[in-house]
Amino acid sequence: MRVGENSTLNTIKDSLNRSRIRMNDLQKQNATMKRVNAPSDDPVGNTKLMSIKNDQLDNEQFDRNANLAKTFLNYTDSSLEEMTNLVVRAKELALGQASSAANGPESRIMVAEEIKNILHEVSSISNRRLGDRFIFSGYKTATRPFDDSGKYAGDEGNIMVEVQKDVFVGMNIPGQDLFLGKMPQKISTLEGEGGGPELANSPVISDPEENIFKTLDALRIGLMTNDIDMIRSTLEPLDKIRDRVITTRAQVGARTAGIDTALANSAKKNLFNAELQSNIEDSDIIQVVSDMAREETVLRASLQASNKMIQPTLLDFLR
Amino acid sequence: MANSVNLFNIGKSGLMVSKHSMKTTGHNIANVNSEGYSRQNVDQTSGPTIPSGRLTFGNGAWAKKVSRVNDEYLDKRIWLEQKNFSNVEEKDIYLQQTEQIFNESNNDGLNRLATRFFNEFRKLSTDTGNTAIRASVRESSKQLTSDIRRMDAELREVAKNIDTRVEGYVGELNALAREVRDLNLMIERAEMDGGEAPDLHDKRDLALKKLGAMADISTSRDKNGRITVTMSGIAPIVVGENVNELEVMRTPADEKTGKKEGRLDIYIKNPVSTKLTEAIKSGRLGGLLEVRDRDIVAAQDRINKIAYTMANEVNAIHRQGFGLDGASGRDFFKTPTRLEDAAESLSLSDTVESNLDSIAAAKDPSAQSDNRIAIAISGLGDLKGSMGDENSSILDSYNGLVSELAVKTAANKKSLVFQKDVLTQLENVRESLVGVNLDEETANLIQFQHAYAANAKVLQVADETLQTVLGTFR
Repeated sequence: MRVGENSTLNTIKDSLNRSRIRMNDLQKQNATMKRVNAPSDDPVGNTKLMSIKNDQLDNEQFDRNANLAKTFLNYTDSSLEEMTNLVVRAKELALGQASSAANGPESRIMVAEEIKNILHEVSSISNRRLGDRFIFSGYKTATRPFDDSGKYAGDEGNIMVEVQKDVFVGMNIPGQDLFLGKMPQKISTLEGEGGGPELANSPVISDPEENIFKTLDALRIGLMTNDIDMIRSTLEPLDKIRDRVITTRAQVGARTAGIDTALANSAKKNLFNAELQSNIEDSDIIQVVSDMAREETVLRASLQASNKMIQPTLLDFLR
Repeated sequence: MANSVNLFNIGKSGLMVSKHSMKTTGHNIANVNSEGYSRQNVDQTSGPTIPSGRLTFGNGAWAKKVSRVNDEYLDKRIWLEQKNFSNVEEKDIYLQQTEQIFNESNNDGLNRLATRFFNEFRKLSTDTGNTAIRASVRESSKQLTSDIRRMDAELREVAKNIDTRVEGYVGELNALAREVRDLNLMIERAEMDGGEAPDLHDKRDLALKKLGAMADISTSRDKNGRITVTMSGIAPIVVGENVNELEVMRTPADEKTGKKEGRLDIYIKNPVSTKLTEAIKSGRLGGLLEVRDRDIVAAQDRINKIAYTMANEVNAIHRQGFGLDGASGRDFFKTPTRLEDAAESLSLSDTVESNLDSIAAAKDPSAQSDNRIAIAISGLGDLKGSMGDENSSILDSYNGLVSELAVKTAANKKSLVFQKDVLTQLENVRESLVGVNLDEETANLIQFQHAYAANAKVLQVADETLQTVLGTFR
């Protein structure tokens, strides 16, 4: 067996080159702190990383959506709370005036004044805005939902927002049902097949109940005119209105709870994703540093060996 | 008397042979770093015997020929592995360049931008009347379209680089073919009288090795010892005194059909111009063509399909919706005319470009917060089946492309290392057989120097013997 001059040199060059390539790779990992710097570094991991990135971006938006919907719903909720109190107060007043013959027309006129204020406040609640959007006018948030005569100018639109992949929550309560007396729609969340909610208009459930403005106005007129029958006739509607507002509030609460669950889920998912991402993508820095130290020793050793291999030839000994 | 003269001749022959050997050793040492050089030695043998009465004397030495150490079988294996190595080497360069176009590990790429695009519509769905959100929808759409155009342009750029390289290699291949032809003739002439021309053989082998690395080349030897070279089993390149050159041509752009300039194709000129592009499957050219015509074309097709699908699907929904200005039936993206250049021409429609209010989010023109269209568009990113495969969405399809490319690049990187090992090992085996070792040559040099000195001594003895004889008769 002979050894060619060039094969010695090639071996040296090769081993040095390999060592340097590995060093370079480790240095890159060290500098970027990443194990995967190009898709081909880990094709399977890279695909996973891409879908994790998608998930993270989606979740960011879902969280933003959820928080916004929550603000909207919270504002609706506090408005409904005020409304409940107002209706309960109206009912108390009505009951007080309806059952007691002791109250005279004068006191009824005073009570009528209070009912007028209540009516006024309810009407102001019905036209509340968050930012520049009316909260009770369905999709038509730029339109004032109730005019002075109590006519509804909004629509039945439920503004659905996606708070988790394919989970939609309505962030508003259209005012028609609530104020003018229709049972609220039962759908609180809409789980689509992945394409979002259907584009067709959801059917309007028509079930006329008592109109809050009309009922309060009837009560006021009854008090003004001292018409006890009329006052009494408002008692049952006021109960129903109160129930309706409370039911609606419960619905709002359920939606908020759903959003909270979505937020918690997304936080969990983010944590899980972050861990997965780190497992795939991040370089194990201790490993990298120790590998580098080892590689450096290898490189030094090869250099030293090369030194020994290159130097002596027979010529050195022929003197 | 005759013996003394004969001794002169013997000494002289030894002197000559030692000198030849020293010359050859010197030639070996001089060529220690010449590419493709095989070490040579002098085949030395004893001279013709002359019977002299009862005794038969040898008559010195002579150099039969100078020959090279060579193993044809090993050379063929090296050529084959060199071809395989060159193939993956070329692919490695361009696969990495292609992969880099889709690398999102440190910056935004289509995956993120498309996800962001669909999320912008989700954001829009929460507050459809908000001008700031509308502006950000438009901005993210612009980023998306420009990124798709960037990918398309960069893929074209890589293909163009490959074309340049193909052209260069074809020129080199022609030059090598001419070199083989010339060496064929030179060897034939040099060896007319039965000798051997080792250096010319080395040079021809080297040229064949380089030629073999270009594409699938097969060689055969005719009765005159000339090498015939055939490419891809169909195109004879070097036959006898003729070189059949290759050339490259490009299908020109067609103004009428709007077709763009085609790829660079390889043709053989004679006897009739024949296209070889599809037939070349290995070597450097094979590797380059594979990346260009398979991987890059596949990536371009996918990007075009994504752009085409995205534009049409988004438009189909967008046209049903109403903008804040109450108008409907408008496109979001410019409708792509053809699938082949959907990516290149992807951009926002003029209305969306100029008027934020024309972005349609609502199904009901009078309802400011109607977000049904925005929601429907935001769902398109994950909607399965739009790319023709019912199990994958637009984003899945893109991620699939990246992953296919990554798998191929990674596999190619691995085979590059493997092929390099195989080649190095074979080269080392060859080196151990035919390579020059300086220690060995130095030892040989000393050996021949001693032989030379001893032969000179023989001459001196012959001379002195003759002197003695001449002196006797003074």
